[in-house]
Parts: sequence; C-alpha cells; structure tokens
Amino acid sequence: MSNNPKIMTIRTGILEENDRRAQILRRNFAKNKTTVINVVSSPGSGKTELLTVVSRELITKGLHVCAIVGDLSTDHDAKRLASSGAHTYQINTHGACHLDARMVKQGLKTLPWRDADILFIENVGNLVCPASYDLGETKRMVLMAVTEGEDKPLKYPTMFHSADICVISKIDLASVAEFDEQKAIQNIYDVNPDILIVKTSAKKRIGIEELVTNLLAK
Amino acid sequence: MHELAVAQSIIQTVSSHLENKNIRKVSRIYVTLGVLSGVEKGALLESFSLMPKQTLFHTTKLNIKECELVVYCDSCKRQSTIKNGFRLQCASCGKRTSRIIKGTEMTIDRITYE
Repeated sequence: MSNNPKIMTIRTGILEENDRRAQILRRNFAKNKTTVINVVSSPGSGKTELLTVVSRELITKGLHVCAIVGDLSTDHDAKRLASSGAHTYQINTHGACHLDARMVKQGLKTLPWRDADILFIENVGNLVCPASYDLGETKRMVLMAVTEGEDKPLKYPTMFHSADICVISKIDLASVAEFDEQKAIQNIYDVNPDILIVKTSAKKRIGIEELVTNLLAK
Repeated sequence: MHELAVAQSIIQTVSSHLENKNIRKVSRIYVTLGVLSGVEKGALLESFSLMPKQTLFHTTKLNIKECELVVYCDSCKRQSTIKNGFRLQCASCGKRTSRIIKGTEMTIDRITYE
C-alpha cells in the first residue's frame, strides 16, 4: 500500500446538507404561497413582542399566521405569541445556538402551515450562529433595539449582511437610551447597502403597518 | 458558538462524498472560510480537534484558508479589498457597494486520503 496521499476535489458548501433541505422547504413554501420570515436578533431585542403585535395585525386583516419559535429551553415565547391568535410551535434546541432546516421541517409537521399566508420562524436569540443557516425563508428580518447601541451591525456584520429587512425596535425608548439614529442607519447601510430599514415600537404601535406592508410585499 | 455544528457538517459532507470509495483514512481536509462567513478559524480548529470521529477521520487534519473580503464598484469598475472591518465601500471612490466578489465562502475544497 502506498503512503502517498491521493487528492480528491470536492468543492462544495460545508453546510451542503442544510442548504439542500432549505431549498426543498423554499420550493414547498412557494408552491403553497406562504411567505416565510426568519426573524433573528440578540436576546431581548423584542422579537416575540413585535411578532405578537404584527401577527395580531395580520389576523385582523383576515390572514392566517403560523409561527415556529426556537429557544434553548421553555415554551414561554410560543405561549406569548399564541395570544395573538397565531398557531405556534415551540422548538427547544437544548443548547444548540441556532435553528436549522431539519428542525423547521420537524416543526412544520405539527402546524397547519399549509393554511398560512405567513409563517414566522423566530430564531434563537443570537446574532452569530443563525446567520449561516438557511431555513428556506422568503425573507430574513434582523432586529436591533435602540437599547443595544448603534454599532451592532459593525460587530455582527455577517448577520446584518444576510438580512433583507432590519427593524430598529423599541424606537419609543430612543431618547432615553440616547440612541443616535443617523449613526445606526449609516452603520446598517455600511454592511448591507440593499437592506430595508423599518423603525418600530410594538408597545406604542409605531411602524407596525409599514412593517406588515413590507413583509407581504413580493 | 456554532463551530462545533460546522465541524460536524464538514465530517458529514466529506463522508457523503466518500461513499462506495475504497479509502483507508482521510489525511487532510482543505476548507475555505471567507471573513464574512461568520465562522471563526480558531474556534473551528478547536471544535474539529475535540470532535469524536470515526476511524476514517481519526487522524484527519483540518486546513483552513481564510479569504479576504473583496467588493466590486459599479462606478469605478474596480475591485477593492476591505481591509479594516466590514464596511462595504469602494477603496477608490468610497461609495457603498453590495457586490461582493469574495469573502462569504464556507466551502470544502478538497481532501487528501490514503
């Protein structure tokens, strides 16, 4: 047996398997005309609160809403979101820092998602790991709360670069937090010139209508 | 810290390419990581070394090539490398550009085996 190592060219994405699963999900979502939003942010940016308010708004419009909620543990967020009237399913990742396409597929089994006009996937609160994992979503929405400061996009460029919509949340707290909005917006565009920015406050119902319109836009 | 999951995916992906092939052991796996891939080189090497591996990968070394962030400017018709940070700006005219040429890679390029 020769000791000379042989070379084999592979040239494939490291996450090939997840990407393949996500593509199948994306095709099924498109066929079913379900808009799917992958919602990402650090913990405490207000994902659940915003989605609860937005879901209520969509349901009032006569749309069907489903949501998959990812957390390391507890079903608190799924319960909160269900108060809007959305069908929810909680995934507990038991330590895993992100959702992947396999978990989403699993979650779909217990949700009436084929009736849904819109499906939210609330990812695990984390601005690093979920960035690399395609979930078959139509759009990716990243939240940054005014209380987090202006430089989040520069610290977590991969995530902000991968998103289609950036929500600046808790905008009602901007002056208390001494949030520099111009600087924040500049930082967001610096890492993603094509992103759409929407300012919201779930508590004060600011920007909700604008966000809903953009979520449903093709 | 998703590098452990990434390390696992590297083994899985390579394994799936080795099915039905007569291979005694994989010596090295060569991967490329763009600086905007979100995967940290040191953490991935550490994760890879800590992972329990089946016989084929027992002594496999991981080689990581890091790839700089390169953008293309539509106005200047030029490429530029982003040196400091991740602001997607043309080095010549300073305009923002979303056209990334390199830097988001997360690929397995080749392996050596016996």
